[in-house]
Parts: sequence; C-alpha cells; structure tokens
Amino acid sequence: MAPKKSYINWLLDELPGLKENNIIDEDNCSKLQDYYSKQIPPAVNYQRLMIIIFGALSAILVMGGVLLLIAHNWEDIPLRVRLSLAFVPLVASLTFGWYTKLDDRSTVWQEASAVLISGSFAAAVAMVSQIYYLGGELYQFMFTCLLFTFPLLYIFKSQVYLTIYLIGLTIYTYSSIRNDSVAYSWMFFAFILPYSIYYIVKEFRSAKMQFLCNIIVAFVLINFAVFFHECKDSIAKVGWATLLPAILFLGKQFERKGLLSRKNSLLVVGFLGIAIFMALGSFDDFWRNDYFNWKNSLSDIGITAISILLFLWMLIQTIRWRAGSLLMPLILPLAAASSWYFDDEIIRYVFSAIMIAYGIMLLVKSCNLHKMALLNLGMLLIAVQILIQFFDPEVPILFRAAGFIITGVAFMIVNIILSRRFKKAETAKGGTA
Amino acid sequence: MNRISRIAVNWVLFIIVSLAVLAVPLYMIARAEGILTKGNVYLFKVVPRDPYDPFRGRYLNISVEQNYVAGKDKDFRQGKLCYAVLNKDKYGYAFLSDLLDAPPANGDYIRVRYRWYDDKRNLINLPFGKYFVNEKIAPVAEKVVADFIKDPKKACVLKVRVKGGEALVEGLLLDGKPVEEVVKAKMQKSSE
Repeated sequence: MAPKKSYINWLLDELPGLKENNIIDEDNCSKLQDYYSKQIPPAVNYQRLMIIIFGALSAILVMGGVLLLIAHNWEDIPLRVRLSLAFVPLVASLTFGWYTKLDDRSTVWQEASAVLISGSFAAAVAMVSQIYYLGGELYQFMFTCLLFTFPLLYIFKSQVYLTIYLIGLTIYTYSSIRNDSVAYSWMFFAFILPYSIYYIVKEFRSAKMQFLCNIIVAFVLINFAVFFHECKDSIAKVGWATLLPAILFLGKQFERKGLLSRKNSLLVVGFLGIAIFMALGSFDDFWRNDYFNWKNSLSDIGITAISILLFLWMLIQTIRWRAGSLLMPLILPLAAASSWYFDDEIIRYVFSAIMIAYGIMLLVKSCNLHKMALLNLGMLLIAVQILIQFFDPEVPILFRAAGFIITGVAFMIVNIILSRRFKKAETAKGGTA
Repeated sequence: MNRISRIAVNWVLFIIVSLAVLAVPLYMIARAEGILTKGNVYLFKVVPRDPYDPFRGRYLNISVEQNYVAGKDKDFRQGKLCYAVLNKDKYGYAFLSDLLDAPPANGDYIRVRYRWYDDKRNLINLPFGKYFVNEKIAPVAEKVVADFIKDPKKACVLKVRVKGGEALVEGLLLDGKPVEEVVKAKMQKSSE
C-alpha cells in the first residue's frame, strides 16, 4: 500500500535532524529525500481545475447558443448566405484551435478548442442538413460527428471532449439499435481505448486518471447493456458474469499498485456489480425462459471472444497474486455458462452457494487483515443471501420476520465484537513494534 | 517515438482533421446540389405533424402516405438497406412499385431501410421524414396543412428530387404553392 502523504512529510521533516546527529550521511539523506519526495501524490490544483471546468463550460455554452441560432431556421436569409454562415463557427473554431496549437497554449485553451471544433462541426452538419431538408435520423448524425471528431481527443487531450464523446457514443448506441450494426459502437469505443490506457498507466495517481476511470467505467456499463441486449440472453448473462469480475480485478490491480480503496471506483463498481449479479442469480426466475441457442451474430461472437479473453486474464492474475478470495468472482462466468446445460433450480442454488462462499472468504480475510470494511462486505453478502431465501413464498410470514430480525441483530453483534477484537489486536501489534 | 516525432504526428493529425471537418459539410452541399439540379421530380402525398429537433429546430413531420411496398413478404432483416423502385400513377403522383435487395438496372429508386411485414405490406423507412420550417410559422403551418389534408378537393404533396438512389426534399406544396408562401399569406391576412 502507498505510504500516506502525512507520514512522508513527517519523514522528510526528520531527515535534516537525522543528518545533523550523524545517524545518516549526506548521501543517504539526499537519496531518501529524492525517493520519498517522488512518492508524494501530486496535489490537486483546484484553482486550475476550476479554470479548466469553466473554460470548457464556456465553450459548451457558446456552442449551445450557436445550435439554437441555427435551430431558429433563418429562412428569410438567402440560401447562399445561410450556407456560408454554417461555416462561420467551424472556421472560427478551427482558427482558435490552430492558434492554441501554434502558440502551445494552456490546458484551458486545449479543452475549449476540442469542444468548440467538435460542437461547430456538429452545428455545420446540422445546418446544412436543415437547409437541404436532408433526411437522416439521430444515430446517423451522431455517427458522422463521432467519426470525424474523435481525433480531437488525441490532438488536444481534452477530458471534457472525452466526456462529450462518451455521451454521444451512448446516444448513438441506443438510437442505432435495430438500424446499424453493433460493431460500429464497438469501433467507436475502440477509438478511445489507446488514449485511456496510456493516461491510466502514465498518470496513475492523478485526479485526471481517476476522472478517466470513473467515466469510462460508467459508460462501459451503459454501452455494454446495449451490446448484451443485442445478443442471446444466455450469452449476455455470461458476458455480465465476466465483465463485472473483470472490473473488480482491474480495481485489484490498481489497489496493488498503491491506489487507495476509497479512490478506486473500479473496485467499488466491480464488487457491487458482482454482489447484484450473484443476488439476481439466486432467483430461479433469472434463469427461466432462457435456452442456449448459438445465433452466430456479431454481438454473440464479440461477447464470447471478449469473455474468453477476460476470463483467461483473470485466471492468470489469480494465480500470480495467489488471491484465494478472488476465486469466487472468477468462477462466476463458469457458473453462468453452466446454465446452458443445467436446470434453473440447480443454477439458482449454485449462485446462492457462491455468494455465501464469497462472503465467508471475505470474513476470513477480514479477520486476518483486521479490516472492518472487508468484514462488513462479507457480512453483507451472507445477509443478502439469507434474506433472498426468505423471499420464498412457501416460508410463512412469521418465519420471514424472524429471519430479518435475527440477521440484523447478528450483523450488529458481529460488528461490535470483531471491531473490539481488531482494535485490541492492532494495539497489541503497535505495542510489540 | 521521440518528442519531435510525437509533435509532428499530432500536427499531421490536426491538419487531416481540419480538412475533414470542412470537407464533410462541403460534400453534403455538393451532393444535395447535384440531386437538386439533376434529379428527377416525384410528388408524394403526405400527412404532416409538427414536432421539434434539438439540433435543427422546428419541422413538419412528414408521413408519406405510401411508406410501404405492397405484396408478398420480402423477408428482409429489420434495418436492412434495400431499394424501393419508383413509378408515377395516372395523376402524376409517385408510388413505390417494388422493393429489391440490389439497385434496379433501369429507372429511379430510393435507398430505404426495411422495417417489417404487416397486413400484406413491406413497411419501410423513407429518407425524408422531416420538413424544416421557421419556428414562428411552424404552428400555423401545421394548422394550414392539417386543414388542407382534411379537404379532399385540395392536394398536399411533397416535392422530392431523386438521383442515383438519393432522395432530397425540394418543397412541401399545397395546391401547387410552397407551404411557406401559403402560411405567410394567411398570417398576413389574419394580422390585417
């Protein structure tokens, strides 16, 4: 785990004293100073951040105004003049962009340039299609905008543009259902991957990387819901059962590199997603009316190929990390795939067993590591599973009520007892040290 | 890749994007002008409504009376690109006579998207569903057009130019006059 910023600052403050008292020599002192200075995560410059946000916001407002001016439909103005006017915002934005590049201006300018050029391009396309009554649906308009503006992400490295792009991609994905091949959505998603991976690796602890992770995770889930919708139910379920653990594994990888759990959105989303999926899988309705039928469509092949690759990657990581608690998320795709061959009732019990086993594994891990958060997550999984069993209509209401109360009380008692034990163990450990 | 190469690639990319974003609307204009000047004229009977497009403003939602090709089920996949063959009836109005999965060797046709088969009709999405109007005249236009459609003696038609499978709306005509002209005359009359 990464050392806390306050500990590093304390150590850096101590170094001159240690050197003065000849505990360390000057060479070691400077080496320690160099090493630990680099460990301090860069502070977020909120003033700069606000300037960037407001710069981008201004650009968005300007483009919104231009779009509304166009929407007014100035039919009294001659056609040639209206056509020329369609190019005014685009040419102005390109000039702004060229000036930004030539003068190597700051991030605010870069952000504004990307937003202005993409927005004015959308406005020009909209205006020309309005003037000529060009047909076309929303998805076709989004297709043109996404295809011709995505390089702006690489040219200006704009986070705001990335967000707009992902929103546009989501609109495209949802509006193109039944019209365009889902392969185009995959293609548009692939366009931003090199940028995202590069920045996640390069600026690992920065606020920029966290922002990237958060929005990418959100849009991956939203867009994949459409991809899964397009393929067979049985394959879609295996897809979710692979994607959610993969997000958790990626979060684990970031955690091992020193990212704090509370800043690790992948870990949170991955765990919650797995918990919800396991809970849903514990109902036989979830697996009912579903049969395995290989449609051989692009979505089916794509989901299957990605699922296999992700599963192999997770398997390798589990072996490398020797992480027993990750075994349960790892077998989730296999359990979901087994629904193609086994009865719904059996799969339902398999998922209940996996959820309880995962909960127990987290409890054991929490006892070893003395972590209350892990303890509560483990307890949560077990409690949810107990409560699901009580949803069975054959169980009398009085029994259900008793079940709820007992689970709640047990939750509270275990928390109190173990938090005391963990505290005592930590104190003893501190004393020994 | 060193820093200078990265900067060079970035600049080349920016030049390409700058040219591309200018070329796309220019290409749209050139294509539209080509259809308007060289395309054949077809008149479609319509039924409009008045909604709003967030990017392009107010428009009359044009439902062409014949948004299907009658006959046997073509059994195309939903959303499939296909080709509607155009003909004219004895009154000079356009009608869609056939639906093919490849462009016909002779005659005019429009590229359309297949919807589904229903009641002995192959339903399709025609590429001209929107007729953009100024927001001030849109509500009046909607009323005028609705009155026109109710009257069986009057004709409300969409003038479309077709060339090489592309169709472009040239105007919405009410008894042969452009809708804008009729609406403005009516607005002027009511303000007097």
